[in-house]
Amino acid sequence: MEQQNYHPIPQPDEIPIREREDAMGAYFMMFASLAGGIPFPLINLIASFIYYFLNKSKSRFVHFHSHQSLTSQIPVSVLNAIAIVWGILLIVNNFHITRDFITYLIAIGIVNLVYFIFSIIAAVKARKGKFYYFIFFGKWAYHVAYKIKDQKLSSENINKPPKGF
Amino acid sequence: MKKFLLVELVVLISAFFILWASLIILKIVPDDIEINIISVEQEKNIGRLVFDSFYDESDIISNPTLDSAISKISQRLIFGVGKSDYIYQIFVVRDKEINAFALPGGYIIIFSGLIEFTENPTELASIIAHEIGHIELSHVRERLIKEIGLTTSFLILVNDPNIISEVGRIIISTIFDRQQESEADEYSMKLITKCNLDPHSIGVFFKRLMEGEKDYSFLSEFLNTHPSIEKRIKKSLEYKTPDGFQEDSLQIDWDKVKLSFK
Repeated sequence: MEQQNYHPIPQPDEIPIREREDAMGAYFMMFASLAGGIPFPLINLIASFIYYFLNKSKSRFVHFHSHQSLTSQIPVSVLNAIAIVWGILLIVNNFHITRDFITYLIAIGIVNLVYFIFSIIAAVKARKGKFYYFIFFGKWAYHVAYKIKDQKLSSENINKPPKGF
Repeated sequence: MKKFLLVELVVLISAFFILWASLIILKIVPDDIEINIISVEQEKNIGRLVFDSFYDESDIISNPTLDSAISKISQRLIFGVGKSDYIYQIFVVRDKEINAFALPGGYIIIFSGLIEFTENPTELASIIAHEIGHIELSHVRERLIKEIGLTTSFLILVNDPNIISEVGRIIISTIFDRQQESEADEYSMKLITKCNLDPHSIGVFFKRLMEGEKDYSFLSEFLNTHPSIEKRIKKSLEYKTPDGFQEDSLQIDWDKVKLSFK
């Protein structure tokens, strides 16, 4: 029932190559800090934000993939930023690394690896003009990109037909 | 739609915490892991430089009787320590203070006042074992980094005599925290027991020290700064030796040793 409120999903042969490449590019924003030579998670996030706002209007397909890429990157970046702040605090306080911290590093290492694998899969799918839904972020991106927005009331329309018609 | 999203968000967050908790429960990282920024080798280099500076400024005592006694004690202890990253070197300095401390890299400095205050070689062995504990348990390295900072640690390696001398003073004057002292006590008692010496000696020594003069700097390092000192003495006096423990005391004429440097 809810499906009626969403725009129809395009099939791969309906999506131009240019849109596919833009959609794929969204997932490569996670490597932005590597290009800058600074291993700080915020760089990736900023790059994804810029990419999202520059590309979201190109098409719903690009909007979907760049939204999914951006939002899925937020928790990973937050976890990585916590690791950096925690690491700095340990160095400032007593200069030795605790067991809890190393365990946390291993945990976020696994998260980053999983995120990396899924992002690559999503990028490949996007290049082929396909959809790929991440848990939570996939549904959210679909909702944002494909939901049919409420029609404006006719009284608010600026361009109107001539009188008498 | 919103419900679906919420459920998936909860699943996602839970998955991370379950992963983290599992790693902690499974003890992927061992309890005793301690990754220090300064390696043991760097600590040894810093220790050597600090010791050289200390050596030049101090009156190191050396005579056959004293050297033989210290050698006997250290051999017994080093055998008990077993495999170690450090080569222990023990020096006696002429100073009336009742004091002893460990420098980075395995150097242990004993003041002649301390030897005079001990009643038998086992008491001195217990104090040396306590200092070995600080080194083996990385307390010295931690203190080095904590007190003087990483930048200074590396500056020492540049071999600036002023910095080295200043760092030496800082290391000697700063104290370990309560937990580190307790850990070193525990280490000392275990080591002394392993060496077939009386592990209660350190408690007897501390008790006598506490009952005696109160203004020794040694007290400030070992006792005064720690509110739980009575507990520490009690703990060492009540330390239980394993079944079948047989004391094999050090055969050293302690009065002769004391007279040798007077």
